[in-house]
Amino acid sequence: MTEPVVSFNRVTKRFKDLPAIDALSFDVRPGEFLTLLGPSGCGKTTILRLIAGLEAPDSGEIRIDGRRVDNMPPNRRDVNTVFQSYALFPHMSVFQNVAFGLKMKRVPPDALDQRVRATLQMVQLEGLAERRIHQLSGGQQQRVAVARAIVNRPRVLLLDEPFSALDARLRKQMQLEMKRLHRRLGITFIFVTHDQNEAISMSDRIAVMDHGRIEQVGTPQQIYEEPENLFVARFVGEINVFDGEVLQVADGALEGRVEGVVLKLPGRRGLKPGDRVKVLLRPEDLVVTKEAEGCDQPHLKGRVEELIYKGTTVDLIIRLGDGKPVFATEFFNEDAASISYQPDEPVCISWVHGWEVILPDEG
Amino acid sequence: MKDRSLFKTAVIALVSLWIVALVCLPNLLVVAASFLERDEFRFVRPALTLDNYRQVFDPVFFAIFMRSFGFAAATTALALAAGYPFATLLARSRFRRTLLVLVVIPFWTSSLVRTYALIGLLKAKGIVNSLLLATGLVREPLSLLYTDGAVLLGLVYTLLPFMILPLYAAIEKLDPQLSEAGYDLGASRWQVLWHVTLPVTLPGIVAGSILVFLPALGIFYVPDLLGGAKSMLLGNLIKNQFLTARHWPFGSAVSVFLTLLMGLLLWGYYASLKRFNPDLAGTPR
Amino acid sequence: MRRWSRRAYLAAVYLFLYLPLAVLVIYSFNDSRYAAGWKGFTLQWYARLLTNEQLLQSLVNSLVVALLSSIVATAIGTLAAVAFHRYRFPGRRVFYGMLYAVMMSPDIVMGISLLMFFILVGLEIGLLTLLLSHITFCLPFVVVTVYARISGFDPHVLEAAKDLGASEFQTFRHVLLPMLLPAVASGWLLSFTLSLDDVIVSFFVTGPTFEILPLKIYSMVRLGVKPEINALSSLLFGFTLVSVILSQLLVREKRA
Repeated sequence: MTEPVVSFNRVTKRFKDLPAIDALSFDVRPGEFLTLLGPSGCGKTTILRLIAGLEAPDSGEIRIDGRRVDNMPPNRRDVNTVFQSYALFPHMSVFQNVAFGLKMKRVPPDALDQRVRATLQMVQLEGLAERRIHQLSGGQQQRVAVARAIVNRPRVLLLDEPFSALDARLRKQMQLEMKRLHRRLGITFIFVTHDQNEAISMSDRIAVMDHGRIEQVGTPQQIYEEPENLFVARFVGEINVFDGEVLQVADGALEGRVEGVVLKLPGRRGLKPGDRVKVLLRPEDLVVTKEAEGCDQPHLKGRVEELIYKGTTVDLIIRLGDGKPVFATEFFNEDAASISYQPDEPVCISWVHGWEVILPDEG
Repeated sequence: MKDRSLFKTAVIALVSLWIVALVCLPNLLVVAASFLERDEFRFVRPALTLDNYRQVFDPVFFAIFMRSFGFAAATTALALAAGYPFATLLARSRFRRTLLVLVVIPFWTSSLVRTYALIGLLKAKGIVNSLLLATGLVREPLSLLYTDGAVLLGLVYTLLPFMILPLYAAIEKLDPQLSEAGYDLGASRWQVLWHVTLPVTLPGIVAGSILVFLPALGIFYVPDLLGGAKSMLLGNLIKNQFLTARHWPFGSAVSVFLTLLMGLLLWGYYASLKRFNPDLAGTPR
Repeated sequence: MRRWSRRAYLAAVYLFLYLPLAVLVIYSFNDSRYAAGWKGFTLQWYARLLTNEQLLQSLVNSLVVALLSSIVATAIGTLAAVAFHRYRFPGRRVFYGMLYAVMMSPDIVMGISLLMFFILVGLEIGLLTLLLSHITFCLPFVVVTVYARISGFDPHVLEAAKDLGASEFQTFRHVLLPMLLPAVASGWLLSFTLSLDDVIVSFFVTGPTFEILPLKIYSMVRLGVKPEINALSSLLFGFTLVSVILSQLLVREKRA
């Protein structure tokens, strides 16, 4: 078992008596790309600032490489940050910005020059070394911010929503470049975002946060396919939540009533007959069949309310008998070149057994 | 952060020390002196008294007070009346940067020099009288200088830029869509001015009025030079108590009075600022 | 029509502000001691200033005071603005409020309070007391100018400097100060002008042993209008003109 590069042990930080993070514990593995994902105000940026040393915890322990750093000032920590606003020094050139950290460490001029140039090359800014910051585009400024941090070869690179100011196309491109940089440098990246797609596509592990707590930590696949609670399920991607009740438990399998229909469900520990449950299904996991064409499996019944064409998919909004809306995504395939439903057309909804997630009803 | 840097400590110590020694202490001295008795030789005698404050209401001095407030109020009213439309036009002009510099220049020019310049205009053989004589409007040169009118003119002239600049700052920040919304909702020009523009620019009006009103009480050289020997305002009174009459405790009492007035006006300013711009109230949080 | 009347109004106010100054400058070149009419161009009044030893001495005194006090006020004021913005310390809000009060408070109150303070601590009225006073009344203007600029900064820029390993002093020296430079320069210029122009505070805190220009002018003016004073006042006005334009250029530079 390798020692964690950053570890939090029951760390609490309050702002005006409101806990921004509350008795939080977690470990960051060396070299991993960890994303802190959550809605704004969930405390994810506070975690970054605590690691960087820009805030001090009210209680608990923070360790970097096993050393306690709770009250170590930021300039003495081997950690660098890419700020959301980039926070570039407006009175310096690109070169001077990137050289700043090395200059503070009194790196000799030759080595400094060489390292800055190499880093600029790494982020594809080699031609712009003498430019002033205000002469750069948003994307270029963002690269300077990254270069300025990584040139110091920190143990951990902290990225605070670094792409939020970029347009969608540029963001995609920067995400790819950041992955590439991560592989190439081997530095631990801790990345903060509220964008679940960004988190899923970039991370080795994701920590989903809400109200100063970590709700679930896991690989992107675990987070998406096996959410541990409703918050995680709802925050990461679209999901349908059906109400259900356990009828029978047998041989590691359940029989339950979901939205009034009796179905076989996969087993889950700790459930007993009579328990209320939530049955979670992603829109793309649902199978929609026209009632006119006959439905064989046990199924939910509804009527098509809305049909949204998305290019490679079609999104359906289906209204169940009791008025609950269900979202389903149908992919185009060769067999059915066109997907067409009449408004109000009756349909059946089913899914492959085992793809559903069953959670106890929390309230 | 909890890093105890020497630099930080030194800066805080220097700044705090300076303010305590040269701002707090001197002002406390004035307050203290105002409660002490007069002494012919050592300026003050360490005996507590309220006589100095009683003397403020002595008919002779009270008349000077009222006269001085009258002048300051008239100056403020005139400067506001002239300055508000001016600042409005300035804020909407295409050449506002250049026009603004033309207000800033007199703002930074020595008031003494500007008061002196006014003498050249108003004296018996000055430009105004020469013009009046040449056009035949008057036969004899008018005595314009050394009158109350000259003092008032001098006060307005020297202090007008101090009214215009805060007004300009407030009016320039005003979102034009605000008055457009007013018109859109059916308000007339005057209704927009009264219900929208004036209330929103109130902090600027209050700031400008303070910057005119307080100095108008204090600048002793304007009445000295334009009003002649008989003209006495609050500033001259304080000056005389310190330099001629040698009654420091009374001079201090008048100063305390002036400072309290300033406090009151500043409080009014922050109240007006907070009402319309809660996040802009000037002090750091 | 409306547009015409607006322009006329603007022009009238500017005329009011500038006519006396224009007359002053024109008369400083008039070759007549008393007449209101134009008697020809001359530089003799300016030349005469150069031979007035007392006046020249008071000018030198004024420049020395203005230069020294503006430099010290700028240094302390800049540090103060930084401290007020960056650090939390007891009395911070009270001190900041006091600086505002100093800026607003009538000069005459400041003059007498400093006079009493100097007498109490036994400082002889003269250069030193003048310097201390001028630094004190210039201070708030520097603080406010610099503070306004720091407030406009992205706070993360300073955090970035620390994050990249800069100590408190290095952050000040390499990041904060260069970014503040335009505000520091204009604060200095304001201080210099304020110090050079001050009459009321100086009136109380200096004596006949150390005379400065505005007080010299004041005592001359009380004795009546003289062409030499026209020339001198014109020079002072010219100086303000140049420094205002300079500071405007500084501000414009900053925006570019």
